[in-house]
Amino acid sequence: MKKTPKTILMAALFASAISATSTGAVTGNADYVPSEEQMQDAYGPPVIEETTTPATVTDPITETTIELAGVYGPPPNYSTTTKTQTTTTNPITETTIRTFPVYGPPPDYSTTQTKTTNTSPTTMSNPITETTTDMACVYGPPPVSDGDINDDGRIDVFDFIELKKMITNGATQPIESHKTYKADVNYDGQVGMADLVMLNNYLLGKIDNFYDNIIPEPQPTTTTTRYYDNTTVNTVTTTTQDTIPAPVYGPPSWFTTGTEPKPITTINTTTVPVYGAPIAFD
Amino acid sequence: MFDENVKRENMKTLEAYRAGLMIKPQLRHLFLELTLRCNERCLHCGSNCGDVMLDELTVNQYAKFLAEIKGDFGTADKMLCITGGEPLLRKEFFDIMSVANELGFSWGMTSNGTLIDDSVAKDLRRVGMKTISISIDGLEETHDAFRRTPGGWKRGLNGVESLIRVGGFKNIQITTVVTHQNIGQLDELYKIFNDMDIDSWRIINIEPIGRAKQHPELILTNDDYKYMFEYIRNKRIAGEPVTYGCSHYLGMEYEHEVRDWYYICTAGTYIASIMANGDITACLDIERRPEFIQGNILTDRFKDVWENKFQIFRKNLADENEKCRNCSENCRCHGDAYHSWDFDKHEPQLCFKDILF
Repeated sequence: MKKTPKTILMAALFASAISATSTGAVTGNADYVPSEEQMQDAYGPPVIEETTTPATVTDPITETTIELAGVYGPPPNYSTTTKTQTTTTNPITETTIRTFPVYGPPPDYSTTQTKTTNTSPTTMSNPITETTTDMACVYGPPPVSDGDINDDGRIDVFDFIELKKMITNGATQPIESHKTYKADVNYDGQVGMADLVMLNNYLLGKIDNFYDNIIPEPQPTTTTTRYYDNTTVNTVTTTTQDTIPAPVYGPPSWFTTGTEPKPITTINTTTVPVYGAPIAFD
Repeated sequence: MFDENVKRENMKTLEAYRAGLMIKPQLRHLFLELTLRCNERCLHCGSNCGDVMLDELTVNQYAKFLAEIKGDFGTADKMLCITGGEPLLRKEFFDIMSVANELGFSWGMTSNGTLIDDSVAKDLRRVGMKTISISIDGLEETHDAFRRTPGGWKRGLNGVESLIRVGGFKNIQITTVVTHQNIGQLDELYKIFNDMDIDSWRIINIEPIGRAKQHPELILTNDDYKYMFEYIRNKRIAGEPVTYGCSHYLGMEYEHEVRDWYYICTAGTYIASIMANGDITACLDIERRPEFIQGNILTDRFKDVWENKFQIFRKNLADENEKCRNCSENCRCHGDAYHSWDFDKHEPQLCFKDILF
């Protein structure tokens, strides 16, 4: 049977929970305790082809080394908040208001990757739209749709905007939150720039799934500048993140919130062109 | 094992989401029962399939219906689930699915696998099949006896191997219905399936519905249930792609641990089904009673039926039973799955309270 990063991650979640249980941190009601014989073939750490430490496993499909993080908790999938999202198609003259329920649908939904080709950078007349739908098993809902951060059943620019807001507002913990769990598209246990880059690549069609294209979190670069101030030596340390990728469609996220995001660190930004109206919902 | 407080919060959110879904349902899965004919005679069949002579819909009727669905609902976020009987018994199977594929529908199917060889697998890929679930219900002797089909096990597994060999499918799944007779074979089955390149193994318990009601010896005991769920969980702890199905509320201990999601019955809110003769209903596993037939695609527009009828499925079953009304878990189970509810006695035929929680 195929092991995927998802099943390996699930195993890691269990391992963390078991570890926490053994220290008394997590309570459960396991009335039924399987006998040692029953558990013998199944219990234990993930089966991996190479000898690795529990903190890293090798994905047998892509041979990518995946760093596994600590305790996650179960991925909550649902949110009942109805959000009104204001999207600005033209920051000068037009504003489109979209209201949609941000209910976390059961995993029984499919994700839609919609690519819209703009024939004009300032208008959205007759966009050419391709839509693909991820497949689900016939019976039973599929797993949580990673990348569908706003729980509208699609992976699109609005998820990108949501993820960018999460990162710039520092709302990336705890990983148990269903939003952060679904935002962790590179499965490294944290939400950050690498997830934003991967989601952007997915929306651009450069990748067609998250599992096989895991990229590590970019490390911030630190530069130290020493300068003399007549009598003292001052040291200024600046930590910078990689550039936040421009959204595929639509304006930067601060158009929707009305306030500029609070950067975690010094962030180099590029000017984002306004492409036009976001993807239309039904 | 996972934090139960987090689970409770999640299920509380899910409850509110479900309430919204009752008011504004969203069609996501459309089951098409292409035929009730089957080349097997499973003891547990919920649809009483076999040599059932029934007017089946023609290719043109399916084409018209699917075009109507596409016009009314679109194809995005929709999935066709092809089932039966044994769908491959329809000689027009590939004509029907070719139409669906050309219209842009994503689809998957269930099958016993006995009619699948390399040539059929290639045709399935050609007409756009993406996922399939093949039923294997025990080791060879048990499976053949359970499905009353000599040689069925070998042919079913050969069908799986053909699909793997041909390739190009998103998900090849094996489904095993666990009974009191085959529960001791799970380890052996695991060894066989583990050597195959399948994507997942779905383990579900036999349900007290359909023909299974005539075989109480197959129904699982309380200890069997506990063993089965512990088995699934232990496999998932080991990182195996094993999952329980979508049915039944399992209590805080097992919810989200034996499957990747929390329990919710979406019959009539996410799921609708078209029976072999065109009748419109919610889930094909639900007992076939006249009041559950909401219309027929030959005389009604599906969209009108979906939007204006289906109320019988969009309610809490727990409200119909005093014990369920007074139960502390009814906000999570809502009376449990529609397909296992006894509509004569107004009670669940299978409730895991006092078994799992």
